[in-house]
Amino acid sequence: MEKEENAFVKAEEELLKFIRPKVPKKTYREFEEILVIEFISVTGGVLAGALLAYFLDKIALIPGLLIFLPGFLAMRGNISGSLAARVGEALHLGLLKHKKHRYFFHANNWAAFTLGVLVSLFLSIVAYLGTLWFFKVNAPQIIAIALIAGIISNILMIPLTSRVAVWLFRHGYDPDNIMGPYITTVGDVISVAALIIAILVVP
Amino acid sequence: MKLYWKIIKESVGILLLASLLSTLGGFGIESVRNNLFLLLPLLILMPALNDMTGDYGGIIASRFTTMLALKHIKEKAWWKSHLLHRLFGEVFIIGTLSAVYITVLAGFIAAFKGFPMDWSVFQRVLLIALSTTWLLICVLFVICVLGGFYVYKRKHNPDNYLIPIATSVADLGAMFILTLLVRVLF
Repeated sequence: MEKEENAFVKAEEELLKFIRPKVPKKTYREFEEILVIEFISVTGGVLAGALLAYFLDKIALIPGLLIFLPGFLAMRGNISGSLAARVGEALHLGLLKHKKHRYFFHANNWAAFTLGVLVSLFLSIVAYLGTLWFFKVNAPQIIAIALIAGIISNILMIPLTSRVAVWLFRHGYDPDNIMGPYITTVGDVISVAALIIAILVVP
Repeated sequence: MKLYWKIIKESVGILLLASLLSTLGGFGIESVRNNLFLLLPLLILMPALNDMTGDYGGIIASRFTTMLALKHIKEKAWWKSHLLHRLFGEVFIIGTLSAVYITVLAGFIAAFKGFPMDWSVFQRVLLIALSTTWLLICVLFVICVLGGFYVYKRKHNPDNYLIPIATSVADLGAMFILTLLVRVLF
């Protein structure tokens, strides 16, 4: 009876080896990490795209908006990503334990806000000039729309980024691992929403 | 105030450059705007595709620079390195799965919004997502490997060059390939 059981167990192991070939644990874990983070990140992108599709009739009226959009989304990721990295580093180094260190947050948040407005203005001018030169369409409203969208997305995104990084750290998570996909996901949706609000506001 | 000006001074140049490169891709997209507005799944797909390719640029560049720093890869016969094969395989498979995922999601959202989604349109959108992803992964690998060895031989830190270059090339390349494929397939 025992011999038969051992034979059965051995046969089952051989079958499992055939069905599930051994993948090194490290490779599987890396694959899993990247896959999960990537799926979360692109879901935010699709949600942002769904917002664009929902307000298509408004977006189609603005020439040059599609020139501005990729740069605007990239800008959001770069600025918020750098902010999250600086806050995360300061948290890990224990530089933000006291209330007097609020200066660090103020300086970083205002710097990120200023950079966001500057880059939005720069991109809007590039989009306006590009539309004028290459597509022969004069659309100065793109500059106003870009500035307003930049300000709105900054107001929403910058405090959220700092607070979420601190919250994660206080609850035992490493902000460096989570903030990247968070910024990509939330940042895209907030950027597109800010753009749509700006389009609705500007005549 | 010192910290405020320090951050601005150090960041403004590279931010303007990186955003400008992404905007160049926007020119291509603007040239096919009518096709994009008529094909709702593509418009929905666009931000996700941009994000995805930018992420892969960062992953490939940072993993490769780590291999260089740890001396796990040598310039001689680098194409035989099993670590590089593993990295390529992982990114390729994840890229394929992500492209299929965003296409299916975009298709559902477009159909929900009333777009007449059929199998032929879905196939073409899927082909665009997969081709853009696969082409860019190959281009990024070549840039990271050749660029990485070039910078490393000159005793510079590849991290400072490869990651911004890879993410900018990915952003720009994704939009140009998307524009080209939209013109060909639709």
